[in-house]
Amino acid sequence: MTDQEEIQDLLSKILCEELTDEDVIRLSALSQSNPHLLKWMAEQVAFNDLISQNLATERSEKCFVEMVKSSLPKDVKTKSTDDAFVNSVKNKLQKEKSRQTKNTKSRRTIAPRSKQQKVEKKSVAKPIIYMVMAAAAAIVVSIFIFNAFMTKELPQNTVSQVSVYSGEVAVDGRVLEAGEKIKSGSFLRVFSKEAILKMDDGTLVTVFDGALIRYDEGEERRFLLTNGKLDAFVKKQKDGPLFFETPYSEAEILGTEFSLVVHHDRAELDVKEGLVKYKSIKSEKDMLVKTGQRSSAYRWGTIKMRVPQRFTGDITGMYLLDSGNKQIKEVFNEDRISLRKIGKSFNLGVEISRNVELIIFVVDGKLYKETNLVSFRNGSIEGKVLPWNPKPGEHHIKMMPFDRSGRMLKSVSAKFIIED
Amino acid sequence: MTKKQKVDKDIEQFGMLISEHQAAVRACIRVMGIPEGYVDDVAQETFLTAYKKLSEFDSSRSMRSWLLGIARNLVMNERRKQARRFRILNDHLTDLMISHAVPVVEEFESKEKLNAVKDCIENLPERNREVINKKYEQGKTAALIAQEMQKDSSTIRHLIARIVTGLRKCVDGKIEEVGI
Repeated sequence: MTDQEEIQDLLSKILCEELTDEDVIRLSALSQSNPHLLKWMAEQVAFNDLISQNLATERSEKCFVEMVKSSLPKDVKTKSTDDAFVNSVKNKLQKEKSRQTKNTKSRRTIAPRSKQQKVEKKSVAKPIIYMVMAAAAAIVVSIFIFNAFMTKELPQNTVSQVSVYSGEVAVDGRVLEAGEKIKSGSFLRVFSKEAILKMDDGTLVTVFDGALIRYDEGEERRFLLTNGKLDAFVKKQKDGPLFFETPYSEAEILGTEFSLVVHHDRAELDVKEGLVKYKSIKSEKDMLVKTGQRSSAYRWGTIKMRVPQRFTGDITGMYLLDSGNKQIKEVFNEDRISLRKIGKSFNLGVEISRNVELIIFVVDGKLYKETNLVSFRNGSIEGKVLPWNPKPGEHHIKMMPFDRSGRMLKSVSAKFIIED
Repeated sequence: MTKKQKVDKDIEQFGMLISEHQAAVRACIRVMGIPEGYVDDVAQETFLTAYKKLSEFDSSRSMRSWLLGIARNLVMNERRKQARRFRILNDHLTDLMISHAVPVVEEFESKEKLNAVKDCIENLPERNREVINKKYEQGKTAALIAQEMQKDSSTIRHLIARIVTGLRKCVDGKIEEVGI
């Protein structure tokens, strides 16, 4: 591979986020012989981000500005009284406007000649009456829009059915007190490990650290989770469904228990009890998600169901056990285990068939003894096992069963995620 | 003017600054090795920090340089904190690029470029436009695009790099033409 080809290859890996440590070493070595390489690479990546900002709707300027503005604290002393600051902002804006005007004019000059001629011809032929008609049409459209949408606008700053039950929740930079009602349309940020919001009907919504959530109450009642995670226990809704919206999805709830997590490219719904109608906002495709099922709505509009994979063969199931070896719940491949719910002292138990004499566990590449991870038959676990404390994060487990003759039977691999 | 009105006015004015500099700040953060999915997160923190420290801003300095400096510090903190390194593509890449990011983006006429990018994308051949839309608009990975188009993943990766390089030439050409 020539240097040029190698540089193109490295650039493609940076752009597609597939860079390895070896690639960075190659890049570093190449930059020694080519002093402008890193600057050129930086320009290409910066430009790549501009393309992304141009095409990805959720990365558009307007979306971003609104997102940042909504997260700004309102109790910060800024330079509002400082004229120099206000003037500098005004100057910058004027400069910006004049640059945009210049840009528009300049753009006309680079348009193809035929197009330019058409533009000029049209502009000369534009009679004043067209402008009057356009103004009248704009007024009609504005009235229509006002009637159609503004009358449906959610009542801002009205007290809602939701109050803070526990935890630290801030609205506009002020931490709300327990029992304080939340105003409809307010953005809430959670600062404690978790915060519980309670609705008047007894519905509980647990929002986790770092999450940003808004509650709107109008014709519809709607939680908007822009990032982070929530768990909800929703009481039977008599006045129509309760909606949980994310940037990528909408869940219609009539009474159920579920959790919702917003990742950078998808929103994941786990239904623990009941039935939820889950819809992708982009493609408007929807599906019904039942107890024990998980559905992911991706930002490009795909919506996928993941049915928990049961184990088959000589390993028939995996269970969470408490410190007394009692089964807490069955664990499936790719399941999430919350330490908050089960406590930090627990074990994983694997149910095996009669054929299995010995089982070896490999967790994250390390061999584990049976005192930490147990195997059992027909639901009975004998002896005392030591507590096992895996750290929060993703863990991979491989179970290798052996029969009496020492022959290895079909091994099973699974992944689980421990959450704090 | 009540206190609330003053605060609202501050936020509105600050919104204008965000609008003017967001493209450059986001591009700079991406150059410093933050994966695309976390760029907006870090950019949001940059503006939040700037808003809180606005009283420390020296108005004789360039606002953009100040914001890029904040972004740079945030990425360096990210690099230092073991627990938060997941928001970094590769530690060593960040080390290599961090000194180049700010000077490159400081000279960036990002607003004009953003407008010109649109024109250039429209002029791309259909197949290239499809790949670009899948990657940036739909946020798909090169591997997924390759699977959908029944191509090899590295072919798609190289095609993306070629399209980006070509688009940059097109945009630079347009900007030179209009004499910005």
